[in-house]
Amino acid sequence: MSAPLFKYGLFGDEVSLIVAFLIGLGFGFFLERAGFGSARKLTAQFYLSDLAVFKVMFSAIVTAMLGVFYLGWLGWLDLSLIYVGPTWLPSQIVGGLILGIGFVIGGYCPGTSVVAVATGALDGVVFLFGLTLGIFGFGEAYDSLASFVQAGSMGTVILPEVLRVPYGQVVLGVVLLALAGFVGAEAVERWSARRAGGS
Amino acid sequence: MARLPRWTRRVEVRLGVVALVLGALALFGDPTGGGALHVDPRDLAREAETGADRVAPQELAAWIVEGRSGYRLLDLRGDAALTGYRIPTAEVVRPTELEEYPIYRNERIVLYAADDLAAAEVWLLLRARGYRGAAVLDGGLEAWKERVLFPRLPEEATGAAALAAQRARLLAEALGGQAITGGAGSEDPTVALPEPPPPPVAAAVPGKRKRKEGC
Repeated sequence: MSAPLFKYGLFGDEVSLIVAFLIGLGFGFFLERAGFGSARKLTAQFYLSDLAVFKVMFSAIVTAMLGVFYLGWLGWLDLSLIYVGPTWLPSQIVGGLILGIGFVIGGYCPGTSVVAVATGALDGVVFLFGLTLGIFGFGEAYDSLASFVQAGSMGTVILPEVLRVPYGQVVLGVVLLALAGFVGAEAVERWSARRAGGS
Repeated sequence: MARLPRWTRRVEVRLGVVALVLGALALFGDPTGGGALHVDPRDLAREAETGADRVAPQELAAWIVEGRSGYRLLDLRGDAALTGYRIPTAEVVRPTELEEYPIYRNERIVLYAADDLAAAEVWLLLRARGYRGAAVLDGGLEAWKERVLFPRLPEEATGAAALAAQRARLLAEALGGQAITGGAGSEDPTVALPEPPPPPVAAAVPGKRKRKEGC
């Protein structure tokens, strides 16, 4: 067992920042290459004309899931040391709704807005400015929101525990879901293209 | 939307097949390395309430004196157990060695350690691995000394109390201790702990096949 590398002391806090920077470079590069610096491409998924975001994100999920699973199975990765964020269901549902509304209206999610700023898009700059104001405002209002934010704490939950099935079954289930999603997304895009062509 | 070249479609299909194969193979894998444990919280709560998760020192003393064989007593203190006093019939084993130690899920396993927390932690580990017969010695070694080896008995007792006192005295003497007569305030006599029994013979012989568990 030798990973997560940071948890096993392969490098310290300073080097971890450099590692994070390099990972961020790669993440931003691939987001931009996938066209996710464009608000039109990002919001197209909500109008069902271009589901690239869905396909890219789900591909990333499946790739990471399979990687973590097999590295853990080989004994190279200690799953118990991977940080998994805790779940607060009510506040995260509401937060997700707010994020979704902001995504459709503003054309970006937080990460892609940074990509847009890097490519010089003015709307990305405005979006990021609004995002920063929102974060600041949330921080200032936190005292009055704390009881709702922390309500319904479920701790750290993962699908195998919630569904009470072995890890392997969850992995296969997610893969099948992803493949069905990709096929479905392609069908929706073709239908949307036909509709756009016919109207 | 611009159409992608044909070769990208071939790559997508092949990646999909690879993902499907890996997903199917995942059915046979365990990424936790066997490190995941499962406990039934209701079961544990019920045992905590009824006391089924612990064995009283007097009860253990009776088993030892009666020569019962239906239990295993594990001393989890490591080196301290080898050099100091050990409860008779105790087997010395470190918590980290338990995974390889030959204990069986159909046995009554009684645990004691340097403190109650350590014994409780090992108890939880064993229960999570399916050792439903695991229990903690109630009060640990200190309770064993106070209630079995050097029990404090009333000076005058009648009826059932006298019988209980007599039983406690006999148990103490059988196990190398001595009952203390008198109430609170009386001085404890200077009594040395019995000599520790010789170190137990190693229970696991390398290469020896593990006995099958259950019926």
